[in-house]
Amino acid sequence: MEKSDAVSVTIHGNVRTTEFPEESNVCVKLHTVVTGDWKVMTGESVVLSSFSYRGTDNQIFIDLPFECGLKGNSPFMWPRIVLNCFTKDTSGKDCVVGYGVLPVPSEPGQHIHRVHCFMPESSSIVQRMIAKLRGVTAEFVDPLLPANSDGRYACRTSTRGYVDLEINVSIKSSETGYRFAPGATEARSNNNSMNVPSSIADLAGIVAAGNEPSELFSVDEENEELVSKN
Amino acid sequence: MAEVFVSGIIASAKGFGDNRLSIRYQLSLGGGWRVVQGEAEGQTQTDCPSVFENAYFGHPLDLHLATSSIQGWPRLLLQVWHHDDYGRQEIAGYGTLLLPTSPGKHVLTSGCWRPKGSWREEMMHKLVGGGLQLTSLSALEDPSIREKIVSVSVGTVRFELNVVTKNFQRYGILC
Repeated sequence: MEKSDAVSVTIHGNVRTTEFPEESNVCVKLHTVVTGDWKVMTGESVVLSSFSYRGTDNQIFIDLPFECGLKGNSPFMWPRIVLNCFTKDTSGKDCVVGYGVLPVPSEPGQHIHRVHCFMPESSSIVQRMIAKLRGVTAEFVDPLLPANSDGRYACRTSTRGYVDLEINVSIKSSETGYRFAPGATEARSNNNSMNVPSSIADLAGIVAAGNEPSELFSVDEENEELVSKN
Repeated sequence: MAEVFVSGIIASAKGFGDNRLSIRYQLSLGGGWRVVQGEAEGQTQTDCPSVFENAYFGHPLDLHLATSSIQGWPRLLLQVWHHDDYGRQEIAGYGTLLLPTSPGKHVLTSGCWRPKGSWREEMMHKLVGGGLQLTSLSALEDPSIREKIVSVSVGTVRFELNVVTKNFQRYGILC
């Protein structure tokens, strides 16, 4: 019997604002990175914003919506969001100005996060001077490097700015054993006598029938359409 | 077997002077626990603050642990290494972080300390650099060793962790 995909996650979010004190304009590219047996089922995994210049109150609003449906066999290697931030310099050339990562929250609900974005530093003073003269900055070969933790100990980085984003997470799990959020976790008795409410959670009307997960925080009904069950 | 999944980042560190830091972590588990997937130790990149004051790492942590016992809940043992302008590395502090026992999103801070030396050793540390180091991290795990050390508080390290638990309620455990 084939093992069903145990966890489906739907994320809806918006990259709100960003602040890079040394830059006059920023463009954000957002990747939803899945590893291992996780798959992107719906939505775009890469979205790109416009180049936003500072306004009169000195803020940079990115306003980039993103949405994605993801499916995996286990909560290990939960998907993450990798940000690449670019700036357009006076000669019209795009250069990278920061790399950042945010693990998608595994608690359902709305989350607001500030992701700090770093840039690799040149390895010596000579390299730094050459970079300044030639007008190029050091970049990572793999733009998705922040998604992983391998090989990071060899890097020297410097943080140039941050991105504020809002992300709303809905989780559907076909395995009843998972708990994603704190709450009144009841010790379920083996006989399914759910007729008599034995806790506030039951009185609140959370239906625990058969295989349905019975967490207090339940998934949006409309999001179930996005994830098709085999 | 009950299981715990941790996904999160080592977010930032502050209060260590110029904050040119990298964090080295390793997992300390009780007897009934084992690591199913994920790396039990690692090291972040070295962040050298230029625009901001704090060091920001954004270093992902992914762990899948299984346990047959509620004792010995995992902790992270931290070593904060400082890189100075001349490329030398010294210990800036030690700390521990208890992984949360309840599922959900957690923002945690670990207050770090370093061993305090004699008057002369402290003066050398301030002028020349370098300093006292622990010979073994068992001081971080075992309070009977830790109580013999005199320490100076240094900065803090901030973590943002998401915890998912599996099957705890099957054994009747509330957490």
